[in-house]
Amino acid sequence: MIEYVNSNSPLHRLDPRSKIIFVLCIMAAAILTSSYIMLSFLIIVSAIVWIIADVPIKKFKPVFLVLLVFVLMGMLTQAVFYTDRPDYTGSKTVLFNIMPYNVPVIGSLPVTVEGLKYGLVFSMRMVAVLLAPMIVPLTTHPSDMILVLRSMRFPEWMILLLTMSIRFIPLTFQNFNTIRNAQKLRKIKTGYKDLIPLMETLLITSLKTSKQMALSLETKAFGYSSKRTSLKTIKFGKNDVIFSLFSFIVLGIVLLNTGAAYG
Amino acid sequence: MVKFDFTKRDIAMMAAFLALMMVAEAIWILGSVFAPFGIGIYYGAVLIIAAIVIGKRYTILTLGIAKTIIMLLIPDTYGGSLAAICYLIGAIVLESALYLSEPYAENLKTDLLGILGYGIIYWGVYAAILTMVYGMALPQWAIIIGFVVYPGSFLLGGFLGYKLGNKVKNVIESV
Amino acid sequence: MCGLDISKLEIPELATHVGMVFQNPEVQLFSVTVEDEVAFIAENLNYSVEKIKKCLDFSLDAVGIDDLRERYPFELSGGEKQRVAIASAISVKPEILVLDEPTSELDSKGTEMVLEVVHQLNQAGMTIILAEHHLDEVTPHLDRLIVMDNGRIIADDTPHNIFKNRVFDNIGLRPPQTVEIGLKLGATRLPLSVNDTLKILKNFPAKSLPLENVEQMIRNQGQKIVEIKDLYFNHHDKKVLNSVNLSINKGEMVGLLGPNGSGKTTLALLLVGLLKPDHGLVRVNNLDPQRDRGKLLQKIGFLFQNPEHQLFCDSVYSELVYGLEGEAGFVVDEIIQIMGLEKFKNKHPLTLSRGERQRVATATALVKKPEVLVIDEPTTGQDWYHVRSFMNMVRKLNQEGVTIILITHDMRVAAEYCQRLVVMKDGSILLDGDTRTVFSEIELLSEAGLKPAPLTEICIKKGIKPPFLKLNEIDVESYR
Repeated sequence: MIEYVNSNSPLHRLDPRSKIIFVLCIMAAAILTSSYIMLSFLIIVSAIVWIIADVPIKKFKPVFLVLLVFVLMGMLTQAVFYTDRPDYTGSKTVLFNIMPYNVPVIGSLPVTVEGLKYGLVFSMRMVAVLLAPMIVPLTTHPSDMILVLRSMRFPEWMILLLTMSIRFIPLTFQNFNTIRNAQKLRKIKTGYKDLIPLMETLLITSLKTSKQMALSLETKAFGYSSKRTSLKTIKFGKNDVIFSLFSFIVLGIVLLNTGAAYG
Repeated sequence: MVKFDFTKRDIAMMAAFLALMMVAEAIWILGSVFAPFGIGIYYGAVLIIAAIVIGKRYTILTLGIAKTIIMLLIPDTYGGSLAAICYLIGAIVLESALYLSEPYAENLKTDLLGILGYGIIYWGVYAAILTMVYGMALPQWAIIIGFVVYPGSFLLGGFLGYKLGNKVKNVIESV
Repeated sequence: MCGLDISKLEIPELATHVGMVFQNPEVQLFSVTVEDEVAFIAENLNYSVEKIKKCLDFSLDAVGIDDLRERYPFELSGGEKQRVAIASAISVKPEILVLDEPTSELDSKGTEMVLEVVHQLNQAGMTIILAEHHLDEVTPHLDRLIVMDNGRIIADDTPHNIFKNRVFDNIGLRPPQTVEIGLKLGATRLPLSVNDTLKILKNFPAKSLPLENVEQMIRNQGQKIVEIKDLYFNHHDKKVLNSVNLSINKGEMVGLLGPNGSGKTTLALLLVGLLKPDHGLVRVNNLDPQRDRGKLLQKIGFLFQNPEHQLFCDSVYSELVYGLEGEAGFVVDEIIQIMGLEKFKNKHPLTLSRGERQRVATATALVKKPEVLVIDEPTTGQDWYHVRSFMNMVRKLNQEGVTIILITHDMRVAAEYCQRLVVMKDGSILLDGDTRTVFSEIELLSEAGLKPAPLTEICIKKGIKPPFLKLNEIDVESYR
């Protein structure tokens, strides 16, 4: 899972809202452009921000592995499907067919040069679109994210719902493992069928905990007044303005170069 | 204007359901061909159970909004953060169906209809984001398979959820 | 209360007057940092930021958890979590703090930390109302004791008078062990703490227990049923078990002690093959839990700490049948009868009371007629009556030949029921021997954050060797 990594990097100190602006700019740019160069530029910018964020890349090896698999799959599917699009009018240079003969509905799945080229663009776009947003949860403490919601005037009860759900996740995983273990101890071969009673017990234990939590909430004056103050606040400072400007410049560079470049 | 009328207990229970939905993300990491099927059944079930157990209008909508906010922060492996929208639009469809049933979510037919709608919209929006926004080329047959797998698994999940939900509700109320 | 009419007030408005701490720390923490958690009530009350900061500083300081400020509440240890819960409850400086069994889910160290804080708050002038089953640790601090039964207050007096009048005798509660010693010795002034007892005992000569009165330690020389050699286990690069060597003979009743996180539960899960050792050998009944899990499951039963987690069927009956192969009806009926579950046969297990659920969970383990039974903290949060009836049943099983491995934090249970104790610390075995010998090692025990039951502690401090484990070992005549 992608979760907060504690550090004191410049990125950690930014207002989460400026990081969200960065993400939105990178995503918009990646969607609008189809140029190799511009997409590489976006990936490099994201990578630099990752490095500044000072998160142990090693820890996210599985995330990158999944990413790699998806990139390869993206390339392969596009290599096959791109030229099959009904609106495709360009040339079609078939390298080889995946299927030895023409299978009904699916066809012979030819891998084309044009498709491979497009697959590369598509995969780069996906990498840019995935790499940038991960920075927000990695460098923003959940409690600061809550403050963003508060600054957007979300109702307090919904904010409470979100914090409590984050708090519930480790508990749910723990309960799931214990119940699963209990089943394995009682039955030699557990199968899909055992998942239903497992879920039932998981639900009941979780909901019982909720009931107790609600009682505890009562004693903590939640809902006492419609207004609620907040100990911590977020401020959009000078660095945030600079970082947001930087984000817009990146978007601008990409937009200016999109019309002229490939695609 | 939509008026939310949740007690602290409802909020605590919805938090538990949200956590249960987020645990499902673990299924994706297994990354098998069956993952979409498993996700569909699981989500379908959790949604319907939540609707039955909490049993108040806008339960599904609230969960949809909350889930969307969380997914906006955690990019989906395919579809990025934008894919979060499919949870919101799906929730609106299911909520509209359940809104018509009285008491909330107690009618099997509307539940199933709603969750079927959820499944269709979920995949529809997802596929639209993939093809139109990201420019992914998907052959028609793949899109059609999606329209069978997702609504189908959500429907199955919804049916399971209806059975489990009523049982769980009885147990929870008796303790 | 506080001059206020409660019926006219909403619960939220009471928060400034009464702080509330519940049994389970898990259910009282809502936020993602300790700081937010402690500021929660003040924020709800719409205080100004300045005032919230003051409340926060006061609370963190009063409870002594300033260093935890930035942490995730759910990553903390049980004792830390409960202290955060207390900090949160007292943040708006209520006059009264109500605690509902705040230590029942904690290990000895956590209990000590929490009670220390509560005592300090009391010294600072806060009224404390504490609901408790286990009185050994708290009694010295009490001003007043109220005993309830069936929804009625049956006694309300100083602890001394209540114990003196033997109010506890008929309602399934147990006075602190020091009081029991005092009663037994016929002391005029009942001792409420270990030190009190030592003072009283000054007048009595230190007498060793005549050896013939000590029931001979029956160290079963029978066949080995559990064998662990040079066992290592890591979880996420963290060493959980470190070179563990242990062998248990058939028919033994072994207590597994140690603070939370010392690896007790991990060891138990390795025994049943739910975890895979990184290195070393585990054999149960000459079976490898990894390779022969199927066969092993017929021989070993496992009771989880929370019985809720091992019940997943719609009725008690189907619960017992779950996982059984072939003809099972006869055995199931027999177990239902033995465990006294006839009334609940068709009820949903999760709707039963805690004690009943525990009985159902135990029954599910017994239907296989196991040779080994592993029990993880069965007595948490229960009163003495329930603890005793459960433990007596376990003892009976043991006498019938079932090997028992009992993980527990309750030193009195360990002293009174186990023949042998294994103490774990940081993933290794610190002590392993018969109960009396292990409890004599008071210094090594304290290294593991453990303290023997008051009776044993008193004996050791008084120089009585070997120390007593049970009240009935005190030979009253020899003191007269």
